[in-house]
Amino acid sequence: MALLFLAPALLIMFAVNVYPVLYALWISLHRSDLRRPLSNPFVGLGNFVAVFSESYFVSSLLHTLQFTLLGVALVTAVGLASALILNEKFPLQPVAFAVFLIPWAVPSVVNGLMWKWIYDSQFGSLNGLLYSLGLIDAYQPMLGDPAKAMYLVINAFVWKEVPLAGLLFLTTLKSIPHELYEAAMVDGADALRRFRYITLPSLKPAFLLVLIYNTMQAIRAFDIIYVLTEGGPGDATGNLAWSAYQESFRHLNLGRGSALAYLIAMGTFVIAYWYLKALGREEKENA
Amino acid sequence: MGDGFKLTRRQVLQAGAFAGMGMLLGGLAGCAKPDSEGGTTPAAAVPIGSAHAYKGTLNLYGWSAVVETIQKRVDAFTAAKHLPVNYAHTAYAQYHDAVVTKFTGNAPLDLLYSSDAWVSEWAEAGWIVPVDGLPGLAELKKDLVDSAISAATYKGKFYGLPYYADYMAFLYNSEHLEKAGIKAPPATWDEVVQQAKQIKAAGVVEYPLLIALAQETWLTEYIYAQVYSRGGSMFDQENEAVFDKAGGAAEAALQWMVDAVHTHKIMNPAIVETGELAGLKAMQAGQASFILLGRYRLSSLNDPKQSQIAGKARQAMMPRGMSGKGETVSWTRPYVISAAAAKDKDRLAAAWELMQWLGGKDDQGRYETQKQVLLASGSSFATKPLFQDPQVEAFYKEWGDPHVMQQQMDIARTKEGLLPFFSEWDTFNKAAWSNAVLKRTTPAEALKTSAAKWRDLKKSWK
Repeated sequence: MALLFLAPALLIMFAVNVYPVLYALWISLHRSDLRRPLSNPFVGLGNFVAVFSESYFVSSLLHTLQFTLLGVALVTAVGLASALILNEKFPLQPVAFAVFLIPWAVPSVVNGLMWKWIYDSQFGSLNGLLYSLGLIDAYQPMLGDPAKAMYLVINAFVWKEVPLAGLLFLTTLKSIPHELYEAAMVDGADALRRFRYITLPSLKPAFLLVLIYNTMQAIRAFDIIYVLTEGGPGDATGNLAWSAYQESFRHLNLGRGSALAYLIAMGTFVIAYWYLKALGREEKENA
Repeated sequence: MGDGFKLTRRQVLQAGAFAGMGMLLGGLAGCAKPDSEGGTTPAAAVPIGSAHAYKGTLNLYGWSAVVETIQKRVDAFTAAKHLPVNYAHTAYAQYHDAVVTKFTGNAPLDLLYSSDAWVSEWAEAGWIVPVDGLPGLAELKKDLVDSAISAATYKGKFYGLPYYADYMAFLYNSEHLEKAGIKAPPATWDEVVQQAKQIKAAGVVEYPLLIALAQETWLTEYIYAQVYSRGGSMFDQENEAVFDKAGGAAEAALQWMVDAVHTHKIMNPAIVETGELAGLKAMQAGQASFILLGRYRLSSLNDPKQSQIAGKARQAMMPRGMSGKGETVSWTRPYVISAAAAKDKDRLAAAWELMQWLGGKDDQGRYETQKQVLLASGSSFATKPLFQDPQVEAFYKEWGDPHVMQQQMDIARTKEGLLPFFSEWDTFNKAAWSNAVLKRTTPAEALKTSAAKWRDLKKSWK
């Protein structure tokens, strides 16, 4: 009876979530090239093999790893630092909190466009700031410099994702019983020890959530790259998600695009599983 | 936390049941015939019905250029033919991807804009139909310039009348040349360097040369124009890549651009970020002396409402290099009819009426839409009779030199290599050229990898 009541919702979830995923898997196992619509043979893992041997694969993978490692580390660190600050009482703290959340409310594409203007090599405010501070003699190429471009893209990503991470950390911080800190202070624990032995362990659930969520976001990052660089300059910022988009929409090769999408999904799953195992094991040991 | 993630036997069985249903449905979906047939039946083999018998609304899709003009022409069509048209558009930079999404998602499309670079791709995908044999086409084709016919022809079939046609032009700011004491625009690429250095030394602008190297659609035309102007080719008659020839025109062109940025410092190192539109605005603001742009942009450069250099922008012949005569690349953007429209003979007739109205003659026998598009934006046409139109002649004289325009058009060449996998190679080639300009690779290496990519694609296409 319960299943009957759940059936409509389950059907919709199936249609919107499960079926497309399974259909994408089916496409990835066939030569699905829109330029040859009548020829759709089963190729097994052929698309996956083809993608691995493409010239862009290694660089896309490295860029994805770079983006993920640096992006997630920065989001976590800055998010935690922000939460610790916002957890303290200070004048205009509610205003600070509201301002802190603004980047999260900005749509991804708008975020990208905004940073594109800031980074502009001719009239961007970043160049303007650096020039007025005397740090540069002349306006510098920003997104057009392959040495800088990826870091600038990561920065735009971090700016957008920090508020949610901070919010998750802050919520968890507020749930830590104050008595623990009082007892620790009575025992003579300084701020660093209280942070290490009370705050950090209590934040494990929040860490897990922040790490999993932001890793997923970073691995799948597409919109920020599309708006800021389209994988350029040259191929300096193309990641796996961008390559999947190119294969599907520009090269019309849905088979390879789906294969790449599945590789991204599997990578995300593996990393998320590893997080769960690593942090879950630590909790068991500490229990 | 770890305990909460155990699955019960019931949950596993239920998940398996759902997954099984999904596989079944996925398999059924996979067995379904694709919506579009490859090697589409030519339009002429489908009997064309009567446009007046079509009771639906035609869907016209294009990119966002001269939108008001097109809308007025569409309104006039509806008033004359009593056929409602839903006209939608998107930015040119996103147009190809948007159309792919629409075709794949079976969005309603009847008539749409295309580029010469996409005709083969969309024809192979079965998304568009040829218009051979449709009533009145033979007469209209007689008025078309040859390049417009070849640009819209694939495997011997003609796919559409032109929306507009143009070529890549070399434009300059005459005031900058005057200030630097230069009497005539450069005739060779070497002279471009000399004059740019002179302009820079005179303190007129810091980076006199602007070739927008952002990896967007226009980069393809910039590349072709520079290779052609040096007497080179990208592909031969058999569509084999020839641009990787050591010491050839492509290597010379790419090396020249690298030197322009890093050695002569006449082009901004940030040029790889600059797109065509940003380049146009920079030129309008007087920030560059020489630029490659579609010839039609000359009208907006000389429009005081849009440009600070109005009256000073001129066209010169494309500079020569090596054995070249200063040739350039031309392009045609044709209208095309969707395969979905062709499935219904009355809908096909209605779409053909709209194509003729926009890309051919209206009820009064005038090429009115093409003329209005020219007058609104300078976007040129591909129909010979319009060249003799007094209003058109007067328009050209107002912002350009018709003599130079005609001379350049006479030696403009269409793009080579427009096979179905051209877009895929083009993406790779643009990145390769960018990497060379950024000095992440040498020009020879960039061209070598690009040619290897072409050969791989050609081999796998067979």
